Amino acid sequence: MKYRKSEAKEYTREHMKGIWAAIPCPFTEDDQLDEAALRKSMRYYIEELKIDGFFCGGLIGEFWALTTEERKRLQKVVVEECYGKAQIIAHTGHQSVGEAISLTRHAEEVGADYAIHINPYFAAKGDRHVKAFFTHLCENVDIGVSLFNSSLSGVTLSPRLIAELADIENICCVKNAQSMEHHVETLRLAGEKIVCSEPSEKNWMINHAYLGQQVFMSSPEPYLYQRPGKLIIRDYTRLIDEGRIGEAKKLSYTLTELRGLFEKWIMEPWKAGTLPIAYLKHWCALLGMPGGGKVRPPLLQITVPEKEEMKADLQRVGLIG
Amino acid sequence: MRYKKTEAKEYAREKFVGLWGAPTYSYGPDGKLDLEGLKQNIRYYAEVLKVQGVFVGGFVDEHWSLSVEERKQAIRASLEAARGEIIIAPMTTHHCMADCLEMTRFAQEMGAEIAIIMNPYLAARTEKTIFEFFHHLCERVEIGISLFNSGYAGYYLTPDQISALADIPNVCAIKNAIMDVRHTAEVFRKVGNRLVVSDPEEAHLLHGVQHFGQQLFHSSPTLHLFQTPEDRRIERYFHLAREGRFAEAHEVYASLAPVRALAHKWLWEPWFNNRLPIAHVKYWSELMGLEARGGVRPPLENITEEEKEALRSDLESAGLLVRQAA
Repeated sequence: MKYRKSEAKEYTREHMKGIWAAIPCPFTEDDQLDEAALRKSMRYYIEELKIDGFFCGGLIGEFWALTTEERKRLQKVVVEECYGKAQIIAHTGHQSVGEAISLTRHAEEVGADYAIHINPYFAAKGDRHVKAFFTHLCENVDIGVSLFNSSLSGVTLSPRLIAELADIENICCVKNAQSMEHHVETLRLAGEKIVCSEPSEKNWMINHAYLGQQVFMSSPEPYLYQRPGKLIIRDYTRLIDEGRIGEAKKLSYTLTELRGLFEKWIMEPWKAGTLPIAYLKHWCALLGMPGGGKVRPPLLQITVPEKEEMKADLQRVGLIG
Repeated sequence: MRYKKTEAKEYAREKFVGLWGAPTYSYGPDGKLDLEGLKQNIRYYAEVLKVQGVFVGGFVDEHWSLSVEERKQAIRASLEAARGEIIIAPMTTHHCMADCLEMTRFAQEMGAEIAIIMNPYLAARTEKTIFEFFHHLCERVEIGISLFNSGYAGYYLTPDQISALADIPNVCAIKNAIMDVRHTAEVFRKVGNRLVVSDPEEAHLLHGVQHFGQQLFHSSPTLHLFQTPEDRRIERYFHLAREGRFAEAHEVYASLAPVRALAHKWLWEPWFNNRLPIAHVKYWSELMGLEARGGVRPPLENITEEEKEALRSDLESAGLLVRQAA
């Protein structure tokens, strides 16, 4: 641990910055964790795309399809590849609070910077249950814990509840995958207590330039939009930091077509109930990244016509040749 | 396996008849699963309540709070305690397919006659992915599978989805925990000749037997919450109805109304309003003589002393605590 439990909020405020990616979990043809591809992709993210931090083992990482042992192994491999080069927030969400504690302690032990836990799903149905879950989890771990307010859990944290949870000693952040209205209200109620991050790239320009959001934590856009030598998100973020807002906006607008494709292939299926991890992995494969293989059941593999359509889409906007 | 995969439906039709309970799990002072307590509960169900089967590892056992290892230990302990005298129906649901397969295969190897799979949640959110979940699982196990249609997944299976799933060879039963008799009626109409269909609401049981020929009550803690060793009225009205003696069955059924009202007050009303009353189920179970110590695990909240007093007093007023007093 790089900080004491009582310093979790302060440490996060000071260190959780930059552009973070939520990464997929590669599998081999025989459905094992593909460690070689994972390591190779981590090196690509860090060395070529200059990504500052990684959210591993989350929704993009098909956490629901991994055993506890696989999740621990994933944490270890990601930390080994990142240590000293980028930060790691390990997703330790589990329906069993005992298993969540075990995963979180493991993240702490292997050297992750932070842990993050999706809204407790299945049994926790009201605010009291949610508070009981996080209170019990946080009492039993030292690492800084981020909330992950995803409604996919079946539970949505209100801005007020986030502000209450933010009083727990080592709650240090919220990845708030909600509407802008929700985010703005969360910033108002909890923004001084913990780091609040709304994770859509399309809103990052506004969130960073005008609402004081210090970190883009986290989504797949950093590796789906950016290519080696063409780090548009990173570049327009730097322009914002230098106060060159007009130039930043102009550069950000060049992503408009890609944002349209992200809506089509990722967000629209997601909203319709189809977790688009197979599409995301194929997008990675088209970019030549390792680990763009299969998804685990119950998700369905991408079909051949879909593959062709996606390739044509990415060619049309000039992302691939 | 006592039957071939292709015979699962036939086996279920012949063997899955009668009443299946749902005993509670208890925890020791160290917070660990109390397997001896579970075994006692299984024996109580077999010897005292004389049921035909029990569902283990479900909601009243806080399945979500248990590790895969704990769930397997409980399956093994239940099967040992049952000694082949009653059917053990373990729930082996998990959103992680590898864990789900591991537990289902374990149940199969340990000699369970059926495994119960609740609607998958988290990643399975469309008709195609829900079907894929069951299809993938069932292709890889031999044991018969009971669907468990619970809204706690965030959705219900529709009668049409159930009908599609009923074509999978080893899907052989359904616990349709919808609490909507019209939905269950439609399920009986669509799949009643393929699956053993059960509405697990005790209040609907007589209706189910009389109007749909429901052969199995799958499954409910009411068998131990409403009944004592000397007073097994659910069993009585179920058998009367199965024999076609409906007038007598209705009389016995009606006599349980006060207890049913208490269950509604203490259990079902909170249950269907997102406050799983497992601590209350456990305390009621303890009062009825089952092993249910150790409270509940977070995020659920334990029953308060005031609630205990009030629940106990309610059960005494309804004349339910005879066994305890004796």
